[in-house]
Amino acid sequence: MAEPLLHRLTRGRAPIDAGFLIGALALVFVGVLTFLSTRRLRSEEAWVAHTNEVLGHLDRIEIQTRVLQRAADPATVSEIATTRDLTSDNALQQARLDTLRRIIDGPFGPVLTIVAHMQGEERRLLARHIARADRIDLLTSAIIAFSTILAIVLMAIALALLHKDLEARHVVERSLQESESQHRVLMEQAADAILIINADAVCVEANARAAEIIGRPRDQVVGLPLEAFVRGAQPGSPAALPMLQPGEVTMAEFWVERPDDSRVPVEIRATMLDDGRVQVIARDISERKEVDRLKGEFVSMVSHELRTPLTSIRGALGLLAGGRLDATPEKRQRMIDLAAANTDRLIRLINDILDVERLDSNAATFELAECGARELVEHSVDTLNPLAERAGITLSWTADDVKVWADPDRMAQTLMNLIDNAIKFSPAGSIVEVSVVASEAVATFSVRDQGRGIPRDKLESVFDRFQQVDESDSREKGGTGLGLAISRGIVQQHGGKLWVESTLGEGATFRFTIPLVRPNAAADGDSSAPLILVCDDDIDLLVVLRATLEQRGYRVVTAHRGAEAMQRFDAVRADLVIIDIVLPDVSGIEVLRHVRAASSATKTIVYTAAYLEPDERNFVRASEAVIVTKARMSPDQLADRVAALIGPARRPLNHSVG
Amino acid sequence: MSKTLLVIDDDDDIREIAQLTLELGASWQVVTARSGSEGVEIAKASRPDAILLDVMMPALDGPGTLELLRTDARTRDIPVVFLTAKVRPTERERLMRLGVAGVLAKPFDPVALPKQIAALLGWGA
Repeated sequence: MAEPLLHRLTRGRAPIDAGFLIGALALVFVGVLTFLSTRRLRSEEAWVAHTNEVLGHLDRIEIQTRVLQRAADPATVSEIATTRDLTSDNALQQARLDTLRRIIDGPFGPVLTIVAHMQGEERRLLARHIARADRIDLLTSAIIAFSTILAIVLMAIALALLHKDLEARHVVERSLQESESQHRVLMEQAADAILIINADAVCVEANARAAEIIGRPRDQVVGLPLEAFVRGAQPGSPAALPMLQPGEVTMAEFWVERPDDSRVPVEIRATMLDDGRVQVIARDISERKEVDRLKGEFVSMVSHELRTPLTSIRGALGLLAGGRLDATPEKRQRMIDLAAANTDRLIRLINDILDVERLDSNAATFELAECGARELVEHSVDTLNPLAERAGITLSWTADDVKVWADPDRMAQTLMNLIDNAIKFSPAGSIVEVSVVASEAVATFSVRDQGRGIPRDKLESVFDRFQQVDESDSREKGGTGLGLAISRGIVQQHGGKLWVESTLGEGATFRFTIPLVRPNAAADGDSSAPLILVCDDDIDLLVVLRATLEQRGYRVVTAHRGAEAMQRFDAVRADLVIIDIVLPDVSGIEVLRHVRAASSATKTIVYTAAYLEPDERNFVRASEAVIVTKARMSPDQLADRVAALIGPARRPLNHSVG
Repeated sequence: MSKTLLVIDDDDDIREIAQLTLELGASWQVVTARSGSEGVEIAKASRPDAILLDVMMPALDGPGTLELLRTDARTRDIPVVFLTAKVRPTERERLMRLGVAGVLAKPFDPVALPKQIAALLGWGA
């Protein structure tokens, strides 16, 4: 940026400088000419005065001679002497004066004749000098006039150029100010810390984020030596700052030590500026470090969890293979049983680990269908009844006769996992109750036990991987420590929520919600009303949109997953589809493609909070869908947009359909 | 006189297999504990000749148990061998620095285990 700006500032100066130089030279030239002309004029004027003086004396000689009728008078002789002095540079007049002196005592007629000749000569000279003086005067006037005009023109040109230059400077200054202001805004709004460090390793500039990371007010950060807050890998250890060359960029990781003794890991990019100062851009990598730590912890846990059953298998088989148990058949059988049980444990563990990973990476596949909630509960309870009976526990259940949109196997897995846990943690003789209650949009499944309960501070962490309420639980109860994490993943992938409510000593109730399948709207309500299919994975928003649109008289069907939306569209052929882009299974773009392939008449609205990639945006536009950003349009405004697209419904409905 | 070894491990199956392995393979007397705190109590009471100690245990882990053993005069000098599923060299070094006789990895070979323990403790197996 600096080089072009400098160039812009300096370019265009040469014509101005040249203009001023030429102007100055022209003025000097004109000045010299004027000076010379004036001198010549003065010289001519002196000559005129001189000639007039000579003429004056000659006139007096003539007058005195005529009055006295003779020339030989002392006064006349004196005049002749003066005239001789005055005309010393004129040989002709000197000769005439000589003649005059010779004949002065004679008759005065010839004297007058010579005086007349001399007067004639002087008059001729006078006329010549006057003419010369006039010419010089005219020339001087012309030079002065010309120089004045030239000066004015040059000055005007210089001023114009100066004005243009100032204008250009103003533009550059404004651009510099804008650039400076943008730089400031960028610096202030940067998500990363930006610091300028001088040659003495003292911070001379810092943005707001830098102050935030360093944990001090900005006015304290500026002026702070780097060593006051930058540390190496170990607490308190000095940071080995990179040695930089101008223009070189270096990356490194450091710790920032804050006044409250907390530490923030940062990744820095340091660049040496032209003036020798160093610009440091530092990014808080706490989150990345934490993810790395959790990853490492997970790998360590998985390693430990896998090695534990393997140790038993290896040990049991080793003892069998070593032949040391040949004499004791019951111990042989015991080792075989242990190896088999630990093999099963290993298989369960591997399956659970794979499940967790698939759910985490959204790679888990779900075969969604309409499932009866009663059937799901009945199947799960029947399967686990033998286990409950062995533990002396009674399983009881009730369920509303509703249908959910779910993968039946995954639902059974989740339900059985929760019931299995409830059985494990319930005292013999107690009851585990399973229930399903339907509300407006969701079915809530509950599994309630009468066990020891869960402390308040563990109500959330029990869903973490390998976390147990009591650390000895997984060993005692034979769990993998992944069941609740998997169950929560499955429920979330169905668009629901899983949580636990508990009072210590009074048992626990695990609850999860799954979206309900509503009766087909097309068969209900005013069948002439336009039919709208709304697909969004946010169940709360889906409820609001349904209510808003039904209030306006539209028939509404909903789906919270892409696959469900496509299936429902094929069944009902809606007049309008409102679709979110980010869905748990397939992208809303896929749904849009499906709808467009099936019907060109169906209007579509993409109602999303997600940023659309350029190719997605192009596809959406090409398929004539309207893009509406969630944050910018309320459900009511969306309903207005719907009316603009497909027209209003004939009459508003007061009841829910579809 | 037969040596007595205390095995502390939270996993029931591993405890059982280790006990069988050491009783059959080395004719040592083996007592077991299912947690660190139980192990410390047994060690104080029965003064075993050595302790085979699991590292990753809930509540009180191996290093925590070792610390408790070292703070009591009755158990301070009992040699300890760690048995661990954490097999990375850095982890092994960290455990060795705690002043134990050795660190053995899980899974273990039941035929080799008694010899490995004897070698670490300087016992004739």
